[in-house]
Amino acid sequence: MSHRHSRRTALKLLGAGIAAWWMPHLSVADSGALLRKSIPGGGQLPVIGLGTWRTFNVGRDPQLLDARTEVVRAFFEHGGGLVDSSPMYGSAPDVMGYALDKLGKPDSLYTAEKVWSPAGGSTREQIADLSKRWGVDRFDLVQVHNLTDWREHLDVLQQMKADGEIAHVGITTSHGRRHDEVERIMRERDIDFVQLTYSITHRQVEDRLLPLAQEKGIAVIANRPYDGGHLIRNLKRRHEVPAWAAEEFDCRNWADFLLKFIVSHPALTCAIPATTRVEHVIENMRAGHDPMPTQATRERMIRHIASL
Amino acid sequence: MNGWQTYRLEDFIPFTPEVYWRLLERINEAFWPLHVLAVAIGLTALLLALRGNRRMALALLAPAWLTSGILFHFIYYAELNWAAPWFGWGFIAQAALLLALALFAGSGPRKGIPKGFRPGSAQPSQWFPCLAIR
Repeated sequence: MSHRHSRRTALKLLGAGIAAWWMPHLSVADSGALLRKSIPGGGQLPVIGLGTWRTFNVGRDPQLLDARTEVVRAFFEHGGGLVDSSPMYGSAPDVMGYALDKLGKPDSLYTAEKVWSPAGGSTREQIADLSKRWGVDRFDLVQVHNLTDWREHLDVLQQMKADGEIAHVGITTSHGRRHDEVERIMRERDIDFVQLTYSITHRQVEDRLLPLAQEKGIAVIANRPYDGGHLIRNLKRRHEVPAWAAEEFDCRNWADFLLKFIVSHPALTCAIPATTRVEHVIENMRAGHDPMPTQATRERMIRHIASL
Repeated sequence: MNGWQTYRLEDFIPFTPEVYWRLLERINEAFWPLHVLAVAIGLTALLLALRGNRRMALALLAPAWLTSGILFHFIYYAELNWAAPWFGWGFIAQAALLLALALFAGSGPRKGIPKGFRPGSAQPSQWFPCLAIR
């Protein structure tokens, strides 16, 4: 990600604004600017990223490789930045390499990878292998996957960051696991990012971890925004989006409802929904646009989901 | 919230159903028309077992397990699941055991349906070799 991109984005937004004034029907898709949030060390990230767990593990299937490339294309065409993967996600890093080879590497690309167990002196080797698979010179962010061997991994990652080999260092957890340990690492170690599960139905992190992230200036990535897909599938199947949500924050669908809830939290930097479908990635990206719900509306959203 | 109860079964499956069905489709396309041979071998093994020639039946099943272990787990499934080679080694071990049984088990044909294949007396594990026939 570069400052050159910020200028380019500003020009694009200016152009989009002129187009919307000149051709009002074009403004229907994106009612406001794609929200960006600051990250440690300067720079900003679009609030909607792209997860790859399960969805990008397609092996060497040529048909599915091309299909996922179209998802990545749509993601970047709609202003996407952060793509998150892991060596635990099977062929997902190779699929990202394939897509970036086909599409080129957009300036907005922010690469987020992970290292995992067993460490055993393999941190640098794991990162080198993943760089080759993605076809990138270096990663913007390397996270310790689910805190595995985190002491050894973090020592190496922080040295790599000091040497300029990676830009940011982080840790991850999911499903609400090991929050005490996450909190201790956030307090005691110098990390830039924490990735955790946060959604309208999984809000345990609101009590301690999100306030701590704000206090320490740690960027937060929310995984499982749709609870592994169950939440949005059930809502789409059984319920209509409430009319008041459209009036209060231009909420057009359940993706808007669920993602805007997440990224409107002041501590949140980015949510990373995963999908295999182009129409869904476009829907997700639109959810990152203003307007966002206010604190009072967020509370109403929680009550509404609990009432269903 | 640290327990295993936070996991769903799908948390252990690192790909979508679409990807798995496509994998099987690709394998079927790549190996057609060997399916005919596989079915013929399977039926022959069954017939041999029913006629009491267990050693030959086991000897025919061994390559099916070996082929599934190497082609499916090591080559195709390993694209999707880092644990696939472990399953592959399990299949190869099963092939070796079947072969050893074919070579060293009690010899001589038996009349009638072998004990393990009689309705009501079969143990699930005795049918596992059939899984290797796709």
